[in-house]
Amino acid sequence: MIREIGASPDFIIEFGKKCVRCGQCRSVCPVFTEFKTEGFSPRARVFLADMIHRSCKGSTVALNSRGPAHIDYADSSPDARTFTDNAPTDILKKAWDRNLICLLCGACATDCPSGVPVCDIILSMRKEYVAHGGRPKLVAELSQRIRETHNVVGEDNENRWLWMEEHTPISVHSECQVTPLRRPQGLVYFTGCVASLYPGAYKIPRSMIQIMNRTGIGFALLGGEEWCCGYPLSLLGLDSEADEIAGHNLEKVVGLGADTVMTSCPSCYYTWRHLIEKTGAHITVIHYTQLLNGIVADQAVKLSPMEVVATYHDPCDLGRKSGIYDPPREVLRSIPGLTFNEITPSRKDARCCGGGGNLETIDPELSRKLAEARLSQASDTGAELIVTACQQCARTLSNAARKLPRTRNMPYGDSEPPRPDMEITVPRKMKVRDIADIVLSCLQSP
Amino acid sequence: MSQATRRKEETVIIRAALIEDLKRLIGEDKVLSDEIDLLCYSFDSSFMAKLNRFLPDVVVTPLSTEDVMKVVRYAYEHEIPVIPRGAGTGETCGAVALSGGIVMDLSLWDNVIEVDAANMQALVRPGVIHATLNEHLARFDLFFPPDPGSTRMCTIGGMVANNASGLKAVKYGSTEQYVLGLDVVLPTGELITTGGVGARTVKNVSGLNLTKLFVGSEGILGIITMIRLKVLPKPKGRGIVMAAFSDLDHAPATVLRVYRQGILPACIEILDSSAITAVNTYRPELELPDAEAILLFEVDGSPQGVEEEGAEIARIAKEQAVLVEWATEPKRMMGLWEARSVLATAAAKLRPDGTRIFAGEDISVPLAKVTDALRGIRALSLEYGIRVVNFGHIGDGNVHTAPVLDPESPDEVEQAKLLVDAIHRLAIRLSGSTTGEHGVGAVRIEYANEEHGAALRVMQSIKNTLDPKGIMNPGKLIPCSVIDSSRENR
Ligand SMILES: Cc1cc2nc3c(=O)[nH]c(=O)nc-3n(C[C@H](O)[C@H](O)[C@H](O)COP(=O)(O)OP(=O)(O)OC[C@H]3O[C@@H](n4cnc5c(N)ncnc54)[C@H](O)[C@@H]3O)c2cc1C
Ligand code: SF4
Ligand code: SF4
Repeated sequence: MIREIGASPDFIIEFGKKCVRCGQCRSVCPVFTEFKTEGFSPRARVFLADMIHRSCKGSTVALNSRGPAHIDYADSSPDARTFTDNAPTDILKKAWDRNLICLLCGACATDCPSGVPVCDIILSMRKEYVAHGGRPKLVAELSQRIRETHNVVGEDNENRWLWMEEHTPISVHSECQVTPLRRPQGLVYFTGCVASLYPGAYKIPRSMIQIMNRTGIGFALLGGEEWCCGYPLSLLGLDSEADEIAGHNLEKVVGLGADTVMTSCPSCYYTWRHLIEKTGAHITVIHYTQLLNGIVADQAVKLSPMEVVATYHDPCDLGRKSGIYDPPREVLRSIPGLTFNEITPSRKDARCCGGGGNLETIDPELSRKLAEARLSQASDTGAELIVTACQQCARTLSNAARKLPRTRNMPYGDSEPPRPDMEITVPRKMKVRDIADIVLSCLQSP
Repeated sequence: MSQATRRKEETVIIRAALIEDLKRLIGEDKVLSDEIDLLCYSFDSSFMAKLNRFLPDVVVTPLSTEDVMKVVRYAYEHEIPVIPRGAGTGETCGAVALSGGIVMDLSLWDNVIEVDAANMQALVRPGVIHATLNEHLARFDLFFPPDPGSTRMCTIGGMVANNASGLKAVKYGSTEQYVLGLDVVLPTGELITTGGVGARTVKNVSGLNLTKLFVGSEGILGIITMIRLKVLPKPKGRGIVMAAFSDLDHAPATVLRVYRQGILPACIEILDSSAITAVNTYRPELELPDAEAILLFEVDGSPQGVEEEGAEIARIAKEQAVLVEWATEPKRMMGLWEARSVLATAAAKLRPDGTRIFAGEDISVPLAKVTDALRGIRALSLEYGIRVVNFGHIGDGNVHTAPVLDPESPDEVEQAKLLVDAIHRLAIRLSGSTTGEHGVGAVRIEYANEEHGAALRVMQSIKNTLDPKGIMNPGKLIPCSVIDSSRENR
């Protein structure tokens, strides 16, 4: 088995040697801040990936592995890479397992002075794991589900229309014809599996179509012809399957004569952007926050006041990974009465909501704790409302918010009772809302 | 069964017993013994740890003084090395087990016990991260001044053990100036408090100054479990002056004239031509002037004082500089400072097939010799064929050198080792030291004799008195021949 691993991408070794182990990535990794032991630090993940792949390929530098004092490795050569040589598959399997406990949020790579793409290394290890038979049930089920039903939920794909009930004052053609369009031209709203199939997330597309309707923006939906964007498959390394279904979506969009695809899910946005880059198709990909910002900037609508102190949580796939930071902020700032307080950390340094990298499935308790930590940062801003632009962030954060006590004082230290001037208030009950939902509720009748 | 195989089996059994005992003593959840975890504790930031893999037998993560005492007492009784560790950002191989033993990761024990704003003090556990402490203090308009580049990850315990400092050492000094008292678990397992049991004073000259003995002791004299720090009010104003010079010698001359004018800036940083080239290659849009040296002065204090001092520094710099800019506006200050803040990345990116390394990175020389040091290092770089990027805290003579090489190339690695040795010897020749703030650890121990002469014997006898069995962080800071031979006899 170990020999096959040697066929893994050379970039692991290439960047492994660049890591200076400065630990900068320790300070920003949400998972590490929870575990706090080195084995969960991003630099350790890089170290292990590098060590494993190097030992498969045969290193040019003699790594001198000195044995612990109490273990006299008198019979091993001084250059022996003792652990990997003795139990390579054991270390490898454990490293694979550990890399499942990661949000794939990319925070670790943001300020790495050596430019190590830590998150890509972890993703590559995950893919390698799957390629070597890891997580067979999940892989088989997901792959089969998407192949058969074309969505991650496993429902009849025609159910993608269900969220439209009661909200269909616009003409939408199940045959996927473009409705009369005004601005932007030839827009397809790619709703994504979660928003179209999970009732809890219906609010997002429902808000969006009402806003577009009231501002006269024509658009088309692919409905049952919209397939999963492929993101969940590519996370598992099923790249060719992902490409295949993404190709279907692209074909449908091009077939409609559309020139713009709008997504509300940041992961769909990320995937579409890469798809367009790869294929060179003449399609502009936008995120709904950009359209909303365009609408308010154009003063196409009048927004009624909303007296609330709010903050904005950057979804990792939208912010750090796609560079969209300002449009949602500008939308919020343009709502009269809304006081916008920036959260720390934010933008490229924003902390993941806890729902990235499929962590919610792998370790729900950890995911919840990380969401609580993000809520605590939101609460520090004095905001009562946390706005986001991702159905997954909204779900993770609101689930955690529901379970929190209204207010809580943390004892300041370990030896003294908390003093009044040192009380830290952690999340009061915070409301989590989607940005389209907010805009809709501020939309005055024309 | 061969003797070697039998020995190996025996040691596996001993290690299993050690792990079981530790679990019984402090709880299973605080003991890490899985190979995958041990591997992750086999390094710090040093180049030496990149070339070698220093595996501990076991890692413990204590969360109380009792935990620490139990482990140390056990280790003392069984003569097992104990290696205290903070965040492992040290660049000297200080926090790794050179020859096995128990690595004690104190970074999990990270409570700020108290901010005593009325007395301008803070009481913390060793694992508190530097930046986190300053976030707590900021609520009281206070700050802990030593500011290492590793602020976001290094621990206060590690800072105390290494006597760390940073950019602002010119004005604010190093960690030792702020440590008022410590709780230390000695190598025998006994707990002592330095700086006076129960004392809350800033001034205290009663007794021998044991606090100073433990600050900078790099974990060889005991485990620091609590730290009482003096903290200062946060300055309200800040300004940056940037000055570029076409002649390297003009840089220290300007620094001296600023001092003579009675101005003590918070920090004075230098980028020599190697650093300027690196920054311009990485971020051409910053358009650093093609100069021999750039100085960055930071002044802080009252807004009015900052205005006056900044203007005065700019005036002095103009006498010899080819370009001077001075700002107090936050955005522009960030712009001016950017050249310094991207330096680490710029150095790392100089070679697409290589990286910068942490070795020979911290020499300290008298101010009057800084240019000799910079020129000397550049000459050595040519001699050994290893590219370097030089920058540093010129205000206190601390020169940081970043050798850039391909760590895969055995030839380059060998040349780098020679270069690093030559840089260290250059520092000693220039009446300096091999390390200004990062410490000795295992990587600079070979220069101890040369640097300290007869004083080394006194250091050794202190070490032997406090740690008669030589269990505490062996192989670091000072060579202990006596202890080494006794360890060999076991
Ligand atoms: C990018 C980068 C920038 C840096 N910039 C600076 C800088 O500007 N200035 C500077 O001075 N240093 C700097 N350093 C070096 C390093 O960060 C400091 O020396 C820091 O204080 C080490 O803290 P740590 O928690 O990582 O300690 P570790 O590296 O874990 O340990 C350092 C030493 O302290 C001992 N130790 C740790 N905790 C304890 C304890 N509780 N009791 C007893 N001994 C203990 C260890 O045994 C070891 O010998 C930098 C390092 C990096 C990677
Ligand atoms: S920040 Fe980059 S160089 Fe530093 S330890 Fe992490 S991966 Fe390595
Ligand atoms: S991707 Fe996020 S969770 Fe994963 S190692 Fe990096 S910072 Fe940590």
